Amino acid sequence: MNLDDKLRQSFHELRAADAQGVPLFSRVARPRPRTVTVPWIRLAAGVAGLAALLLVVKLNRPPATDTQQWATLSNWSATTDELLTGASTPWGSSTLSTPTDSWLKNSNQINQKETL
Amino acid sequence: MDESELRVQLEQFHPVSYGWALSCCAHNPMEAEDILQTAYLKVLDGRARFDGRAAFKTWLFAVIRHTAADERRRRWLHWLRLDGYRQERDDEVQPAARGDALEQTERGQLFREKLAKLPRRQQEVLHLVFYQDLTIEAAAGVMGISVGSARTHYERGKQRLGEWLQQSEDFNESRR
Repeated sequence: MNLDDKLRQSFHELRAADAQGVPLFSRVARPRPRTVTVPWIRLAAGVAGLAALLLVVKLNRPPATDTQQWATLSNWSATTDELLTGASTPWGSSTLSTPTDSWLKNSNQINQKETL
Repeated sequence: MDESELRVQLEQFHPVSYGWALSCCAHNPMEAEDILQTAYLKVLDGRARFDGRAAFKTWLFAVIRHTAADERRRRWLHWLRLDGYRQERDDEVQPAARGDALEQTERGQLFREKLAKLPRRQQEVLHLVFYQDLTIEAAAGVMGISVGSARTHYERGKQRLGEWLQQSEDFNESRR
């Protein structure tokens, strides 16, 4: 007896043994009654998902803006603004920029001449 | 094919389908029955449709195999949800309740154990060829793999089972 025959014989013995326990076709082909159950894990996952969604929406929402306040701020001007626009100095008429070291040196020389 | 024709076909192949379902779920009779029931319902309510490209038996076996794979995934997910412990205990009880005549014989039981140790693909192709008397081409169709791949699994599985059969024969002869 070759290997194929031996294997075939062994498998056929298994088949004969299995055949003794075959359930009735009518029982197997019958639709099983459906039970509607919600496993706790699905429920918990659903609640967690909803909570995460709400959190994301809340974090991404832009902060509420007070348009009236913004309008007031954009119209605001300092009371000393006029001093900057009409002022003139010994070394120039523009005071809209910060004085540099050279301007300060000139200013010292003028002061010294005045004292002499 | 209408429902009554499908029922006739399913009933005709019912015993061999049960054998295949057993093979797909490590010979657990309760699980095999569950798998078979789900597969039959898929066929009867049209979720699995026979298009006539293969023989009905080949197609039905492929449906049963897919159903068994789905069931394994479902059970794995159950196990992940810490139901595994309870399920394992249930499974431990079942083999003792089996009343197979062959299992009572030492040789049959050993053969089943050796077969169960083979990789799943090798088990499947050997079952389909030797138990179900399908060709390797048809077995490849059921398993959804190429004929070349099925042939490789077949040769390797046969070689390993052959080695075991030879060893057991030598052992039996030495005992006499």
